[in-house]
This record gives sequence, C-alpha cells and structure tokens, in this order.
Amino acid sequence: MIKFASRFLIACFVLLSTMIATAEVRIVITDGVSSAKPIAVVPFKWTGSGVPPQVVDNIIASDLRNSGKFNPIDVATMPQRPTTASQVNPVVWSNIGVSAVVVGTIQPDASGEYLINYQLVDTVDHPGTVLAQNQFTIGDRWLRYAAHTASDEIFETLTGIKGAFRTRIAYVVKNSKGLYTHELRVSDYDGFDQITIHRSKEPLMSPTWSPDGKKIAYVTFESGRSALVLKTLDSGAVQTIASFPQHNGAPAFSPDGSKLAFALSKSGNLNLYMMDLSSKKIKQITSGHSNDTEPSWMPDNQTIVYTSDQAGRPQLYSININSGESQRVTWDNTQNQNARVSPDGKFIALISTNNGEQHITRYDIETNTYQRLTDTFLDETPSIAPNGTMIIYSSSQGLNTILNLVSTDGNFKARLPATDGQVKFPSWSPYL
Amino acid sequence: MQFSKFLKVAAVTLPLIAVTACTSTGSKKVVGNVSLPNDIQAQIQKLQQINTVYFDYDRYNVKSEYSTLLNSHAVFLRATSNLKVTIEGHADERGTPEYNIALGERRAAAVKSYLQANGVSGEQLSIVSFGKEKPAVLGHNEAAYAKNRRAVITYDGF
Repeated sequence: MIKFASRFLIACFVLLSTMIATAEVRIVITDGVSSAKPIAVVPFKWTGSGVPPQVVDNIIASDLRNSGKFNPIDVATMPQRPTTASQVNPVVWSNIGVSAVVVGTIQPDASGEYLINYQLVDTVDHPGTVLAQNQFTIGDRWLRYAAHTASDEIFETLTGIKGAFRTRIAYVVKNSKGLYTHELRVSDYDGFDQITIHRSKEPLMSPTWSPDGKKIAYVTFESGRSALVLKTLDSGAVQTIASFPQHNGAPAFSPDGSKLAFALSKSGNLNLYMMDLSSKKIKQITSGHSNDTEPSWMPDNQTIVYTSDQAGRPQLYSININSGESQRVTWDNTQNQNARVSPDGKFIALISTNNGEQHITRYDIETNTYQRLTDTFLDETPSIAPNGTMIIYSSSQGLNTILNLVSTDGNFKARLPATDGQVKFPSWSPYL
Repeated sequence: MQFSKFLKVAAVTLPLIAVTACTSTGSKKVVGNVSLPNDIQAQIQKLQQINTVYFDYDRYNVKSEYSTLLNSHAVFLRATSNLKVTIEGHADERGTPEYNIALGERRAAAVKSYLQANGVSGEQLSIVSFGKEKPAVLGHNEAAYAKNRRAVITYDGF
C-alpha cells in the first residue's frame, strides 16, 4: 500500500510545505442520480474510542456517487447494518433493488495507524459472494487515499472500468483582491486536500499534467509577457520551455511523455510546435498564416488534433507530426475548438458554438457524430479523466467561473462551486 | 463625444510638439540608460489617459475615430525614440482562452501597424496578447464585451 501510494504522496509532501489553501471546492451533483445503479455502502464498524479520523464509508460512497454510475442509498433506509460479508443477508438487499453491498471496519492499532478492511458482497447473481476485498494499514494522513483505493477496486469490479478516484486536478484560481491574483492549485479529484503550487500577480493559463503525473506545464504572464514553463511537483523546480516574442501557450504532452506540443506566435500568428523533452529540440509543426492552437494528441503519439481558423471560423484539424499531412476533422457547428482526445482515441471532447452558445460536446470520430453534453453557460477548457468516463470543465455562473463535471455519456452532471475566486483551466491528472 | 475626444487629444498633442524641441533637464526618471526630463514624463502621463483603442466584434481594424489618439502617440514616440511601448491586446469572453489569444494578438498587431505606418520604429513597439484573461469589465452583455475588445498602449517602465 505504501509503495503503491508513494508517487501520489511525494507530490503532496513537498507541496504541503508551500501552503494549504483553506477554501476548497466540493462536488455538488445536479443531474444523473436517478439513472445511476443503487448500491449500499454500510457504515464501517469503528473499534476505537471517540470518532474515527475519517468516515471511510462516506468517502467510498461519495466516490461511487461521483462516478455517475452508482447511487449509494441513504443509510436510514438500509434494512440491516452488517460489518462483515458473513452478516450480509442478500435477500433483504435484493428486495430493495440493491445488487451489491460494501461492508467494512476501521480499527486503530498500537502504533497509531489504522487497519481498514472492506468487502464487496454480491446480493443478486451469486448471493453472498465476496466480489472484492482488501485491507490497508495506514496513518491517518492517508486514510482518504486508502478509501479512494477501495473505491477504485469496487468500481473496477462492478464496471470493468479502471477507477480514477486516486487522481488529482490542477486548476487556476483568480482572485481580485490580494497581491497574488492568480494561483495554480492542485487538489484530489473531489476537491479535498487542495494546495497552491504557484502564485502570480499576472494571469496563469492552461495547466496540463505530464503522463507520469510528476510535472505540470502551464503558461505564466508574470514577466509581463507569456512564457511556457514546466514545474516538477516534488522538487518545485521550474524549467522554461518557451519564452519567444508574443504568445507561448497551449501545452499538451504526447501520451508517451516524450514530447510537448504547444503554440507560438513569434512568426506573427499562432503555429504549432513541439519540443522533444530529452533533447530539448523544438520542431515547427504547422506554418500557415492562420492561427493554429489548442493541440491534443491521439494515442498513437504521431497525430495531433488542433484548432485552426484557416477556413475562417475555428474548426478542428489533425496533422501527422512526421509527414506534416493535415486534414480537416470537423465541418459542423459555427465553431469547434479546444479538442481533448479521449484516452482510447475514440472520441473528442470539444467546445462547440452554435447560436452564440458554447457547450461541451462529444464528437465520435468513427461515426462522425456530435452529442452536446452540457447546458451550462460559456463552457470552456474540457479535460477528460484518465478512464474516459468524466469530463471536467469550467463555466460561468453569474460573474463567477466554476468547475463542472459531466459524464462522457452526458447523464451525470455536477458542479464544484468555488468558495473563493474564479476557478478556471481544470486539468485532470493521469492515474497516480 | 467625437468632438470632446478630439479636444482631449489636441490638448495632449500640441504641447508634445513643443516638448520635442526642448532638451531641458530636471529631476529624472531613467528608462534604459537614458534619463527623462520631467516634461516628457508629464506627456507620458497624459498619453496614458488616452491609451485604449476599442474594436468591434470579430473585427481587428483600427476605427478611424482612434486616429487622433494614435497619432498623438505616434508623434511622441517618433520624437522620443529611446522610449518603448508594449501594446496589449484583449478579447471578450466568448470563445476559448488559448484561441482568444489570437484575437487579442490581431488587435495589438493592428495598433502596432498603425503606429509603424505613422513613422514609429518597429524597435520601439512590442505586443502581448492576454486573450480573455484580463477583462476590463465583468459582465455577459455587449456593453461589457465592447469594453473588453481592446488594445492598450503601455509605456515600458511606467
């Protein structure tokens, strides 16, 4: 477990010393609970004195609810409160439409750590069968992480899809008061354990994670001009990738982590470039007089989907980085831009504009079909979870900008209301 | 509106022409290695009051109503070739942040071209686009958008 968690922890540890921001974002589900599958997460048995340091069953229930695929039932409506698989009476659960029950215990040990046990019990297909189980011994600081680990295992067992509950999000918070008006922050995917990793008096833009989860590339205007930088999370080291005249922006790592694509306008208009991250060599990818930006890589590490206004309004194009062969991808809607290719390369999350409204839209590459996913206002900067099930994006609410979640099938919708400032540029981490 | 704007510009421009001939020294602000006389600083302060050009939706051409404003900057910059300015370009909130950088850039570039066409050296002019990241006004209506689609001339070091 410790080994498993180490990568995740390194980033937190060093950054904790930077500062812990108090105001955090929380997920408020607005749509999709009714279509989710009922499940029960029974309160875990606590064997210590007083109250447990974290309510592990609540964390697991929230994760499953936040996935959009499950609707954990209210504890008050549970027909029994088992804490081990053998105590589960499958019939009383299947009678109320619950096909799987999570039970468990949390107990303090002599060394000050906690032993967490959980079991996932089937109540319908093979009543009473334990579908998944695990136990973790861990300090209280990592109890949330242990709970997310249990959630990942439960989710994958029930859906066949890898869970993404041990992921994090990076985002920019803009405040009108104070010396540092822009902060780049990182939190768990659910908004907990938020930390600030960069503070600036000028705008910060477009953070994006390296595929190994160790670095974040982003744009800073601190010098009065734009620069594209790469921050290593465990050391805090900042490396300048590009600071050419005019714009340096829109960073996107290739899925294999070897290259960083970005947009520069040193030639007078935005063109795509990429840096080989081991040799630091920069290669120009597009070279027209139109604006080409917002690159996103296909899983083949060879093809980049991007926004171009070569036909007037911005639309999506793709280009092969080796042959330079380019083709137009989207032909519909007034505008299509800000493509984010799904991890499996089957669909693109993008911003479509029609009748002056811009919404998160799913474009399926194979079938050439569009599905508008959201009804929020002024949607922008989609970022897809590493398991492809959820999109995080920002939208405007009143004069504020907040983060939102929408499942990639459009059924589940949630807000992450800001408690301070405007929250923009969400970027979902890879699996950590 | 048009007339009062003209008066404002004239009030700045006319003394500038006098200043350019004058090489008096006083207490100085240093820009680069060059000290600036107080009266030049005063002119910059005045020019900073009239440093914003607004653009129509999806448009990047400098409207003729801004020619007097820009001419006064051009006259001043021609006469004080040691000064540099940065032209900031901005877009309204519609669209995506990285693509809107292009819109701000086109506006800043249009102002740069205008100043160059009026005799200012390209060496004195640089541009930066903030896209939609630094709105002058918050709001989701055309009145706010019109105030945000702009290019701003800023004197480096001031």
